[in-house]
Order: sequence, then structure tokens, then C-alpha cells
Amino acid sequence: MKKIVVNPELCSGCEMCALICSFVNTGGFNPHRACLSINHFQDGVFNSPAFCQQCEDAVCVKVCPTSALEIDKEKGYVSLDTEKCIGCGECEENCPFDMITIDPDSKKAFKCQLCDGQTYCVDYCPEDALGVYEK
Amino acid sequence: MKKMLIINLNKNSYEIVETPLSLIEEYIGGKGFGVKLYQEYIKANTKPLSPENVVMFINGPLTGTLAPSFRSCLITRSPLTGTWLDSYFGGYFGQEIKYAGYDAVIIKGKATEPTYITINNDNINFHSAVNLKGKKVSETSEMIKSKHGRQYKIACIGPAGENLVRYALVSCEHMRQAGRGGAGAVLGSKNLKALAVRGTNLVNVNDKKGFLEAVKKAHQELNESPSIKSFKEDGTPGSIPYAQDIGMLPTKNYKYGQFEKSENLESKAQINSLWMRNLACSGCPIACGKIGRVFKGEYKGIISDTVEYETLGLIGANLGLSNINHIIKIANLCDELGLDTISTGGSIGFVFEAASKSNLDILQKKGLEFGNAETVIELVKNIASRKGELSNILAEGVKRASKHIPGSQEYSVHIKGLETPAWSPRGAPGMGLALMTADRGGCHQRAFPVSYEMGDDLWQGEQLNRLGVDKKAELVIYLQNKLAALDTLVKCDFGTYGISEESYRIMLNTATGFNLPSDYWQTLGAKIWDETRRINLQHGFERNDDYLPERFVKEPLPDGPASGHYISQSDMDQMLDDYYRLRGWDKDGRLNY
Repeated sequence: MKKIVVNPELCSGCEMCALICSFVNTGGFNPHRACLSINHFQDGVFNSPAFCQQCEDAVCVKVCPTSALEIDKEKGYVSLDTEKCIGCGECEENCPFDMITIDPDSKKAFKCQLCDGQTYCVDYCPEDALGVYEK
Repeated sequence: MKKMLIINLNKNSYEIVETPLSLIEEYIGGKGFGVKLYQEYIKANTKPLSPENVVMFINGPLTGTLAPSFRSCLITRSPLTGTWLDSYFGGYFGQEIKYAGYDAVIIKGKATEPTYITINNDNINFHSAVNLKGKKVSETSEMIKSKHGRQYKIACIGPAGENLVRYALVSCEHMRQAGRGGAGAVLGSKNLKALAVRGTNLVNVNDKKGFLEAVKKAHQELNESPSIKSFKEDGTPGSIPYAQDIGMLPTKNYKYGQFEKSENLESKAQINSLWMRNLACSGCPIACGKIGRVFKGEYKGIISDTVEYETLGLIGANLGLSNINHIIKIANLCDELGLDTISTGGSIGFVFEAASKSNLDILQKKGLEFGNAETVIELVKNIASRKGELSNILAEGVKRASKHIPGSQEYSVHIKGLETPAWSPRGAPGMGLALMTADRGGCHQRAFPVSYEMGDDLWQGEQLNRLGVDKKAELVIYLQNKLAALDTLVKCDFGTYGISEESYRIMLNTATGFNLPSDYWQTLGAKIWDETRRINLQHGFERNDDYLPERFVKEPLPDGPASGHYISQSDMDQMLDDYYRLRGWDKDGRLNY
């Protein structure tokens, strides 16, 4: 599986990862609408974005009543089929990392799918603080 | 629909109105909206600290998008100067207003008791701020976030704003401030301690592909700029050795232009005391901020952003302080209590000089001397709380304080009541003109011609004579127009060192669907300068208010490469005559229409 990892020492908190993420996935800009979240000023000085862990043993997949969420080993992430999603919120409630939400507009689950390999957030990070980890 | 939120504190009520299309088309946003809305809401005789004054938080069409380095502004009538006031802030707060769905939040009236307001998209609530009274800005922010949620971004005032210190600032989320001109006192006069905003709306752009291409180009321009490289590496303290070399670093109440211990203020000194990492505002790849925790020496443990150039100049060199830990402590105290460091440094520098020259009773106090950090700390605390007669006078700013001290006119340094910034202009008359004509009083951010005067940049292919006055007016007007126009967006000053006017235009056009021509910025800027002039004229300002303080006019600079120089009355008159003529104003600086 692949996941996006961060070096918090380098993160400047500029939110460009979240801005491009929201743009690619929703069509507009708002860091709160990205499928990553930035914790500003943890301990007063750090900024650290949090990303979907693309768990191999993913709770979201287990609790999804419609099999909208699946582990796609070939692509390396937990995929989401919004056609199948009924927006019940089980995944949001159970994700231990708070990295899957119900989108307020579509009322469907919303999560990182590595932009199908494009990982725009990694490309746009001006501090080179993000990378893709594969195991 | 584009919206504005209008809050009336008299009734704890609000209305959400559509932003008029004509306003957007004519004035874009930011400062442009400001000049128009100011004239709609604020009368010529509105007293700055009365309920009739209005505070407007305004963003721009690119704020909150991926476009690099955009901020927001706060517009009101200044209690320090009585002029129009536009004060800008980076960080995250202005973006959040945009995400909540608003181009502007306009605040009228006065609450009957200390109040803060939560804005969650269209859900607006008024809360008692009785338990926030007297709290520092970080405590205020933390208490509101603990209660309402950490997604909220907070703008608030500290004790200085509550106590109507005339240069109290508005703290706009962590480490960023609308610093100049006393907007914090205006909020204080309205009994408004804080605004807490969160928003989940999307900011859309018209031409997605074109916009991303324009952003990419702007990023590339930033990456290729040597000035931006310097901001990235050193932040604004990188300007200390430059100002020292050219003799423009204000030292000991602007008496000198060089500080013998300026090396102690440079970036290296801060790296040695603060554990540093890059800190950026939302959407900005520059990251000129460097945050850290003081890890050794006095005041160990304080968390601080880089002490910025202006603060190093006014709290450091201007007060004769060279221990960086002391300066960090004082800057932190100003931030927390909600005081503008520039005006604070100007006011304390003034009183240190007064104490050495005057026999007045209130000045017969030990420690009122340059280089005494302990006294500065005590004064900062007392100014914020207006404790004691001397601090109470200093809380009024240099212009008013000097009226209490006979003979102090010759060393009271301000323009239209705004304490001047850390660019002492005696060796750069163009900078002098920029300060003289800045619409909010002595400010370096309306035009910064120094690099042209020093020969680093050519003006229309020509090297300017540093100490001469020829062509300085046309240069200042060009820069003022450009920056005012870009403040409709609302740009960050530092971004303009890399991003071209063309890139700003294309980012705006692709985001909004406008089709603005390439010569648009100068036209728009000139129109805005006419409007801020009109506003200030209506408030009673005239040509007489457009001159430099005596120190820069009568006292030759004692040190540095421009040693012996000053900006004479005739230099000022010639530049003002040129300036008014080129702006199309009459010889008294009045508009003819």
C-alpha cells in the first residue's frame, strides 16, 4: 500500500497541499474541504498535515455496509466508489485517524485516493515536506 | 452570490447583503472596496472612537485560493491619525472570512457589554466577552477555540485595545496582526473583543485550467527572484545589514541612521537564540516567517515568530537595544498585549530623548534612557494598561504626547500622527516623499522607492540621483498606484518582489472572468489614490500635513553614506509640487472634482 507521509520539521503550514487537494477533489478552494487536515501550531511551533493512512486492515472498509470502500492492492490505496456510497457515516465514525468524512455538498464519503497516483499535494508542497511511502 | 456581512453591535443584529456587481467591477476588492464603502459608511465628522465609526474586514478575489501570497485588510478611521486607515494582515483569518462566504465583514455600532461574535458560515452569534476582559491575545484565542472548536480562526484585541491605546492592533490568528493605526482601539471602543470565524464554502475560479497555469507562472517568478530567495532564507531581518549600509536604520529616536550594534539584530543572532523553522501564511510559498522557541539565554521558552525588520528597527536600534532576547521578549509582549511595535518603539524612543532634554516632572524617573530594556518592558506593560501619567500620555502616540512636553517638537517623529517606520529618510528624499504622501500617515508600505534611489533598480532606464529630488514624484506615484491597485486583490508586499504585474492580471482575469487590460493597474491605482485623498481632505487634512517631521528637515544626518544630508523645506516643496501636479491635484493638494 502507498500513503502520503510528512516531514513536520519542513512543513511551513502554508496549506498549499490542502488548497490543491480541495481544488482537485471538489472543484473549489477551501482547506477544510480537503481530504487531508493540517494541525497548525501543535505544541506552539509545529505544523503537521495528517493524511489518510490507506490502512491495509482498514476499519472503514470493514464497517461500510455497501462495500463502497475497498482495498485496492494493485493501486495501493483504499478506494471509494461514490455510486455505491449511501452516506451513512459509519466510516467517518470509525476511522481512527479522522481521515474520512461525509462531504457537506455530495453527502457521500470523501477520502484521499492519492489522486489516482498524481498526488498533487506532494507536487505542490513548496518546502518538499511531503512524499509517498510505499510498503 | 457574492455576499457581505453587516453587523450592528447596537442591536446585536446582522444582515447578509449581496455584494453589488458594480462595486466588484469597478473596485475589484480589498482597498478598492474599502475606499467606496468608507465613503458610504463613515462621515467626515465621525469620531474614530465613537459608535458611529465602522470597521471593515475585507478580502480580495484571490484571497483563499491557491494564488500565492494574498492577504486581507482592515479598514476604519484611525484614532491615532484621524485619517483613513487601511491595515493589512496575512495568516489565515482573512481566508476564513472568504470560506464563510463573505467578501467583507462590516461592523457598526457599539455593544452594551464586552462581546465576541462567532461566524459559522451564515450562522452568526453574539456572546458575552466578560470573562475575556483583560486577556492577552493568545489567551483570548485559546479560550474561544476551546469553547467553540479549533476550526475557528480568531481576530481579537488585547488589553491595549480594550484600554483604547491609540496604536492598539488587531491580532489576526497566530502571529499575524493588522498592526498600524490603532484599529484595535476602534474595536475596543465598540466593546468587541473578538471575531471567531469558520467557513466550509468553496472559493471557485472561473477558468480552472487557466488559473492553475497562471499560479504556476507566479510560483516560477517567485522562485527565480533573488529578493524572494532572501525573504525565504532570512525573512525580513535580512534588511538589517542593508538599512545599516545605506544609513537608514532608525537609531535612538531617529537621531542616527546607523546602529553600532546592528549585527546583533541580524538573522544570525535570531537563529542563535530561537529554534527556527519556516512559517508561511496560507497559500504562500515564500514563508518569510521563522517560528521558534527561545532556547537559551534570558526569557528562555518564549515562542516567537521572527522578530520582523520593522520591530528590530523600532524596538531594537531606535531604543538602543541590542540583546536579541530582550527584543524578542518586548516584541512578544507587544503582540500579546496588542500594541503596534512600530508606534510603541517610536513613542518610547521619543520619551527617552525627552527625558534627556526636559526637566518636566513626569520625566524625572530613573531608567528613561536608551539601551534600558527593563524600562522598555515596564513602559510597554503600563502603556497597554494606561497605568500612570507618563504611560497614559504615551498611549496617545508621539503627536499627542509631544504636546505635553514643551520644546519636544524638534524630536517628535511622526507624519499625520503615525509614528514613522524603520526607514529613516534623510538619505533618500523619494522615501521621504513616500512617507509624506502615504494616505494613512507615515508609512513605508504605500511606496518603497529606496532600491531605485540606491541604484539597485533603474527608473525608466535611468539611474536616479540618490540625494536629488528630480523624478522622485513620478517614481513614488508609479509605485503608489501599483501597490494600491494590487491591494484590491489584496496582495502581500513581499510577493510583489517576485510576481509580475502581468501575472497578477492573469491570475485575476482567470479567477474572475474579467478581461482587464495590461495597463489597468496604474489607472485603478490612481483612482484609489484620488479617493483616499478625497477622504482625508474631508477629514480636514491639507498640504500642511504632508511634510516631514523637523528632525528630517533641520538636522543633518550625522552618520553613514548620506552623512550631512537632510531633506530641506525647498526639497519637500518641490517634490510636493511635482507630486500634486502629476496626480492632477491643485497646488494645495486638493482634488478639482
